[in-house]
Amino acid sequence: MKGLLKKEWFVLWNKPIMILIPLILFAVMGITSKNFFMVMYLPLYIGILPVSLITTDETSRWERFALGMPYSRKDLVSAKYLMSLLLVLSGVLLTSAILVFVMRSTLTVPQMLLLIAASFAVSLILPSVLLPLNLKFGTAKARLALAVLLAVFGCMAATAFNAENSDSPFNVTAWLAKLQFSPQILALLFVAAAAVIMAVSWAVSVIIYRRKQF
Amino acid sequence: MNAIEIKGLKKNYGGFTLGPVDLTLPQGCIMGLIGENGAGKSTTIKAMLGMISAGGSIRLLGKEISGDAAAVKQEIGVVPDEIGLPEMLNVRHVEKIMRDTFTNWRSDVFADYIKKFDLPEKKAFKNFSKGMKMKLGIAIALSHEAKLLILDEPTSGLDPLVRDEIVNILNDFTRDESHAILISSHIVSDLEKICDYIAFLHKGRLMLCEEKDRLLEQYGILQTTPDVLNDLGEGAVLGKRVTDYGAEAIVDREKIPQSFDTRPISIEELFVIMAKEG
Repeated sequence: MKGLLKKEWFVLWNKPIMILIPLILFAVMGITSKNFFMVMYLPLYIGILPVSLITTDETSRWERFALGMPYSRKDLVSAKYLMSLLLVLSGVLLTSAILVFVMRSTLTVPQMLLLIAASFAVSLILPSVLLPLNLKFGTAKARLALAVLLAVFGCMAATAFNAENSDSPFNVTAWLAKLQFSPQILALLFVAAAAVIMAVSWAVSVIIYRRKQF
Repeated sequence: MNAIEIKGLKKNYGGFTLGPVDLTLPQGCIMGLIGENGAGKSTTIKAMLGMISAGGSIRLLGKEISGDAAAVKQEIGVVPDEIGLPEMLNVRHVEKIMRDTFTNWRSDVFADYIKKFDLPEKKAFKNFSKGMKMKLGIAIALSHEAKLLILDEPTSGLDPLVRDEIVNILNDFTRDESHAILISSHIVSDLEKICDYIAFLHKGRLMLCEEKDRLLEQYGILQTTPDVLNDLGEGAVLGKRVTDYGAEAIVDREKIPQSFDTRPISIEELFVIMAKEG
């Protein structure tokens, strides 16, 4: 596994400027405009980088080469997830540092906690959706699958939005208001939900990958 | 213990069926898997390495192969027809990755091969020539104390000098009697130089799997007249070419009169005629 993680890292760090420039840009823009949503984007950006490495694997035929070595299909999938998780955690640390040390005057501690948890959760969910799609369909077809998926989510979001201030069962705001969670509990729920989604996504990806023929 | 034992290997791709393939390779030996493009050589190798699902039973180094067979691959060096390293990596990156991949990785051995093959350490893999890529693949395969090497078309597309170099390295590898090699190629002359066993695959069918010396002893080329060939018993002639000046046939020496003078046959001639007749 360590060898696979090293390979992911070497490929990722091949062009550090491509990683660092957007990170610096979002951090600086977030700090100067005091827009914490921009800072929250940092883990999201670096968390999906391992997904982009699947294209490199496809073009170099790495997967076939790796299966000639003492790696199982499960190892290859796990390396992608682990790399995403590690990158998201580093991004969250960076986001937290900026929120705590630079933006503390604009936010309360519970707000900060909620923002960090939301940032972590969303950053985990995105690769959790993208990885199985890419592993199942390949990077080219996965884009189409993602578009379909986004359309479905869009419809669901629109339904929920239209249902606001109504008696509809899709009124999410009303549901949340009824539950009356404290920001701390809500933060914990975000993280737990994201962790469960990632675990399920990993299990699905392993099943998909085990069926793959090289 | 046999390095490779394959029984009843079968794989169906719709338009192409491989097998049933039965192969046995004893330790200390080199087997050449010969076949035209699309004969099923790569499919056989992929099945052996668990890259595709296939019917039949496969044992490598005494261990039954099922699923990815990750554990047994610690002792196997695999060189595919295309070395699938990401193009931005260099030799130093590869060394660091392999150090954490193989439990018996030998950095000193790898460094020796890199030096011997004259491979640049900092140059990106994308800038390597085909020969350099193949040499790097072979260096990886030989640097983790593998007992079995599986090479899929390693000499294809390489110039004669590099091919000769690779053939010599493979020969050195089998000096240790616990080592074995399975090498596939459609360049029969390369395999003829080094192999102890020859397996012919043609259109997915295993036509023969035999010791090379026995094949060369058993078969020969007979130059005679078409009438003489027609008089020979059943199974004596494997294939023939008749011209206005006479006939040339590949014959089973055991099935023709001893008085007939035959000349030695090459593995390539034998494969071509068997494939045509088969």
